[in-house]
Amino acid sequence: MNRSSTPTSVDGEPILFPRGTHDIRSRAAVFLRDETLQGAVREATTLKDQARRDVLKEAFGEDVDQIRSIAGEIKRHTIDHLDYYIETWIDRAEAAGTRVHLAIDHEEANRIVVEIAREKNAKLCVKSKSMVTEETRLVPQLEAAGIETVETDLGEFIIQIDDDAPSHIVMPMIHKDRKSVARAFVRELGAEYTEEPEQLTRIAREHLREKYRRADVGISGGNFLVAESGSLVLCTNEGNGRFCTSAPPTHIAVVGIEKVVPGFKDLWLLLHLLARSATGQPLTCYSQILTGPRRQEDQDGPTEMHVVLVDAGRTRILADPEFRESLGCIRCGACLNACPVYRKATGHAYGSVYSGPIGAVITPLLQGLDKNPTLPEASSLCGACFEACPVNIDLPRMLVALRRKTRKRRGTLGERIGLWWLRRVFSSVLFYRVAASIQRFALSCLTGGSDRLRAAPGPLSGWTRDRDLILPARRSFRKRWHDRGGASR
Amino acid sequence: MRILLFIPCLADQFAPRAAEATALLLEHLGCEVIYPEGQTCCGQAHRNSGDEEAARALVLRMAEIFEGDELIVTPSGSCAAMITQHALGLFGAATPVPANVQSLVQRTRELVQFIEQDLGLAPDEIVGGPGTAASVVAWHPSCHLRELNRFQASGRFLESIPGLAVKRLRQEEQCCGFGGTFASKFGAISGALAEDRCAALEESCAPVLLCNDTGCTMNIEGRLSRRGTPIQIQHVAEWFCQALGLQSSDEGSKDERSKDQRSKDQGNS
Repeated sequence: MNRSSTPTSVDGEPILFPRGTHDIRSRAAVFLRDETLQGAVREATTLKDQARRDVLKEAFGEDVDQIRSIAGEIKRHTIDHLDYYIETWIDRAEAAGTRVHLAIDHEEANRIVVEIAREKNAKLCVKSKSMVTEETRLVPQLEAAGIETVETDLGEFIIQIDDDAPSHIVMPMIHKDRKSVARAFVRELGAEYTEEPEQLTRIAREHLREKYRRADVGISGGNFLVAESGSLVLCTNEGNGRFCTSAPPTHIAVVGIEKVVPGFKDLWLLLHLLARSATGQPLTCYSQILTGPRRQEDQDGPTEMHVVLVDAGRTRILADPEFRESLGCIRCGACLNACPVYRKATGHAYGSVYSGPIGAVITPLLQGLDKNPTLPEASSLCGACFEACPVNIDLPRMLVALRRKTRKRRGTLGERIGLWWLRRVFSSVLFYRVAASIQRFALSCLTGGSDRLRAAPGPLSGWTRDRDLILPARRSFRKRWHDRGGASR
Repeated sequence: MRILLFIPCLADQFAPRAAEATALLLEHLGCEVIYPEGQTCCGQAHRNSGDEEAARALVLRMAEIFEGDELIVTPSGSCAAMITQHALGLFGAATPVPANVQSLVQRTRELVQFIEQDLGLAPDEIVGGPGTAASVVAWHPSCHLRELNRFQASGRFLESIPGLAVKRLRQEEQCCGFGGTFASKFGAISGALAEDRCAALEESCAPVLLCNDTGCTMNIEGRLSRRGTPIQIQHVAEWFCQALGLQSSDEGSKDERSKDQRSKDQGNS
């Protein structure tokens, strides 16, 4: 059941970590033609988006935006004072018996986890869902060290046995249909073919129950770190997280440094928003607050608890005031569900662990804008993500700021000329009027007299791919106003 | 009340009738309408493309041309949002905000917002009914109304017009896919979004779509034309002018003829 190879996408590149420069459009073009995929993603995202609106309104009425901005302030304050809160958290966590490790990058994070597992002579790890371990590519590292590692979140489990990769922060297998799951279960688990979700869940549960019993190490991520108490907070729905963090003798949590919050009253508000924004639930089924390993009087729980705090580019983002607020993200996935571009391009097109609007912002920040120059462009700036974000992150503003950086570094010649030309045109009414006449003339030459253009050349060909270009009117408003003798100055 | 009319470049070129209807409606509502002739563009295209410097220069130009105490009214939600929500962000420590830009930002209004908030008029104080205008319309709330906090408000305004049935579109909160240069650069994704909007529009069975952004209009109209769906698109101001009998059906230029022809076809079917 080991991942035999790195799963690849339609372009032959690794799904989440394409080599070289990635262009979201090449994969999106293929995914747009896949009707099953389009239907599945459209249905799931629109349902979750509506559920989010409904439950937030039910809970907070007209105050939703105010609540979002308070939550945003909490995260912003914490990020602005991250050094203080992280140190406080470390002190309190260590006092509670947690062993805290700091990892500057992906390699170091993986090395720390593998070393702990080796020290314990681990043969088997059970793992709950965690985005940061997708980012560090931890599982292949553990497997390379000869330690079998089983994803226990149902979606991630299916992704793992089907040699696939998650395509959504919260619903990792949003892109898969039941048939492919059924086939994977037959092939990898020797199960009878069934497409019934309940049957499939039962098969997975039976398979996993045995793994929990035998596992030497449990690995988790972390939704929040509470500085006040040195606690780790995990929000899950399936109960697998509880097995992973309590059945094996050793628990290792891998957590990004930005997950810290000051205290429990802050946590309380964020928990209220996280589940509502992610899945439309008032609260996740399980909200675990873990403060250190098993104490003497405890009946169960791990004898050792480790937390690996991962930087991996986060302090670099922290240093840039323009993008710092992106660290406030609580990974609820609401912006993905609300985003029209995510709905069409779908997760794997982004070539990143983080897709959708938040992915379009943080992937270039974490992995380099040079490798991902089209991600900030992949937005109509409709603002749906900003409106959906429970911590009020201004994603459109950051997309534009990233465009500015791309343009400075490597805007294409055509774009530069186009923008320069437009700037000239708009700098005087005379230029503007002359340019408008030229434009109208050029377009009417292309249409041969018709008032609509069906196939445009060059940069406009994207427009006429699926729609016509209705030509400018013969008489502009300016002309009409003048002819009518309207008042001007 | 004297107001300055801000007609964005796209409306000037591609939707002059909507721009004219805006002026006629404002005059009908008792405003003295002044059109500053030096105006060209608000800088939105440059700002969205990340060309902050050019956008700033164009905003400064706007501020000079629209200097004064009068409110500035525009038929376009996106250009209103550019000025009121994003113009100040173009200035910073190195480039402080000039007083005339501050004033520009504070005085700019989208048309429906102006009617409702500044003139304080409810729809039934403007029209008694649709008259010769469509009595069933679909409504496309442009994304920029979100930024103006008008996304629901403008829809509610239309819904309270006497005798008008407003069809809300399936997935009305989903962008139509315009997004300026996005529509050309990401043609396939943008086109798929335009198709979603047109399919929902067709489902609504409304003969007319009301919209208050030229960008969205160009996009949706282009897609409707490609798929051969005869649904007419009007700016909110055009609908009001037709209902009030303010705007002649037109002066015979070719593009308007074909538009009228299409609406007639729809009426007959």
